[in-house]
Amino acid sequence: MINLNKEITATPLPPLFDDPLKDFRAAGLKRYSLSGLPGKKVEHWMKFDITPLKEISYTQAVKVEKPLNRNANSFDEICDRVEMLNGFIDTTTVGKGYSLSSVSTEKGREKIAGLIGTAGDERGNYFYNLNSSLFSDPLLISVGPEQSGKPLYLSERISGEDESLIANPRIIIEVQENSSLELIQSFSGSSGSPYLNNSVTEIILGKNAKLEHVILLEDSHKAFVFNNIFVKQSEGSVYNSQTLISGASISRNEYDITLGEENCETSLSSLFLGKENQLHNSDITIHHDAPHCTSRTTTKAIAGGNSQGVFRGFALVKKGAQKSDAVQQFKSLLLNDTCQVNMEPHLEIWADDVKCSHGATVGQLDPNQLFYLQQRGFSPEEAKKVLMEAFAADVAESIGIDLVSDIIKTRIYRLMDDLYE
Amino acid sequence: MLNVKDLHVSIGENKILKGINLEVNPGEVHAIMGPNGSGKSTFSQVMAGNPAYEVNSGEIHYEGKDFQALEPHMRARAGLFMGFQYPVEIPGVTNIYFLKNSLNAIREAKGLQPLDAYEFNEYLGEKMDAVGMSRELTRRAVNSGFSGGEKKKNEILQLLVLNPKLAILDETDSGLDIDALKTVAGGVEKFRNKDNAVILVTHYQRLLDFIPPDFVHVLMDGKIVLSGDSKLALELEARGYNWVKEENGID
Repeated sequence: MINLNKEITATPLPPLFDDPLKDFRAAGLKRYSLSGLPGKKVEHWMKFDITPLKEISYTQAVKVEKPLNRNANSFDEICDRVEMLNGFIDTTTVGKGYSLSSVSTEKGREKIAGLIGTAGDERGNYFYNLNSSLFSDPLLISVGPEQSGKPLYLSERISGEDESLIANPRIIIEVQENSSLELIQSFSGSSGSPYLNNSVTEIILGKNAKLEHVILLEDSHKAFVFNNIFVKQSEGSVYNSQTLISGASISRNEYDITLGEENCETSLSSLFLGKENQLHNSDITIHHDAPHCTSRTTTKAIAGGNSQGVFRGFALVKKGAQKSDAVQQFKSLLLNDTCQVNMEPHLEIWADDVKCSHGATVGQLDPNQLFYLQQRGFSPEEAKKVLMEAFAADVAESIGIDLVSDIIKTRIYRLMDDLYE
Repeated sequence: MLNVKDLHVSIGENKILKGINLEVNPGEVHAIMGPNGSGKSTFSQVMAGNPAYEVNSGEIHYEGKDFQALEPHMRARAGLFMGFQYPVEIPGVTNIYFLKNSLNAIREAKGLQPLDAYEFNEYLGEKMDAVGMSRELTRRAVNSGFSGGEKKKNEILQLLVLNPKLAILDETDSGLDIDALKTVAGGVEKFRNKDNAVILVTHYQRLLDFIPPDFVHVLMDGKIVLSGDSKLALELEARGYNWVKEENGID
């Protein structure tokens, strides 16, 4: 049993290899023993209360030997697939161009040991440390210039019965020089009990590499999901991501992007559709470490029910990172008096020749727009829906993977139907 | 068609309309004129059912129905169109999506089949030509970044597309240059027939040069203080509103 209020011990990899990751895990455990999980008084965590997930005794998720029935998915036909079940590699169906490595081979162990921590170690804290102590079956996806021609669908699923599971999936994605990848990463689960999925994805982009990344957080309403993504970009690389948050009881997206060399571009859009008692925290940090890099952050939230969203964006422009261009935009729409949204853009600039801006708005549906639509025959429900769709349109339209953009747009608009009463 | 009796309306503590009576029949054009702050826009908004205004007393009957019992979209579906003085910008919603869904909602209420994309495009094309609007405007978000003139033309385009029974045009002429005014007036003239009716709410005579009204009403201090034919509009243009105020003892 794992209780996050108490000390934890690291689990060895199953089966017991001569484990080249032993030292990494031990270092993670040491970090975790010092950091623990943040309390309410810790800056950035004050408005995001994680007490409920600390109060549960978790069972460490284990590999599911018998494959589970899995519902057919709209991505099946059009995508290569890698599935992680309870933090373990389950099935993989990929075309040419990918090299997948796990700890089941010596070569895989060596490759993973050589890359793990590259993007995360310098930046990660609390939940990253927890993952580094407890991760089970790390997966390295390496993409070279040869292409399969299909997007990759990476599904992280949690499945359990009565116990509360904790899983710590660990994924490393390496897009090599002059290579590109389209990735759809989804978080979902079916379990009668609350579970904690604490996932770490480290992304390493080589020179002129490009990653289009769609992230779907669609867990059950009892789930706690911590999606920690660390991106390290090399010269001329491009990282674009769009995140849709519609599931989980308590969730957090931590995105930490390092623009480490010149001429990197990064663009992150996210949309939170909050209902019932959902609590979501998004924390995006972009490190402008080198000159001539561009970053765009668009964060949108539509909150209904008693949902709460806490959104923080932080662009840190290092001394010498001249001609940095960073824009952060936060917009939220509150559908009633009982939901809450907190949006905090931050900039810290140590260079003197940069273009940086940020803005945040919190509002309600505009009564003038609603009336205009109704005067043209739209029912009040249709009018609300049209305006919510319009609010989310730029995120929905920004989906960079053409093959799945319609599927995801439809999904966004369908999810909105649940938001207004 | 429209029958308004002793209508009293307020916003918060402010009483705006203080007993309006008006009857509009098919085939008629009515002009409601009056100085700033007399309640002209309030009248339009209340006819359309804007929830920001509170009807204190009085009756509004439309084709025999109690209009006050109908929500704004039901009034629209029953054939009422209001041209907005300040057409609302709706970023993120394309004009074509807006027009198509609006038309089909109203068609459905009339028991007609919705138009499919092809039929709608054909239909819309004709109407756009009638108001001289560029096709490119259909792909843009509703009124977003439109010039003042484009917004008003867009209102007239909607009038022609939706083809209501009763059109209330709230200062559709304000802020237009003479060419745009002619286009707008031309659109209204195309719309008019013996079965529908138009209420023009305006400050100025000049729109009425193009669309001669059957009746002119002067609204002042929340009441219609004077009604007449189109000659009244000319007199107001020449003499202003002060003489009406004096004759009616309004400060």
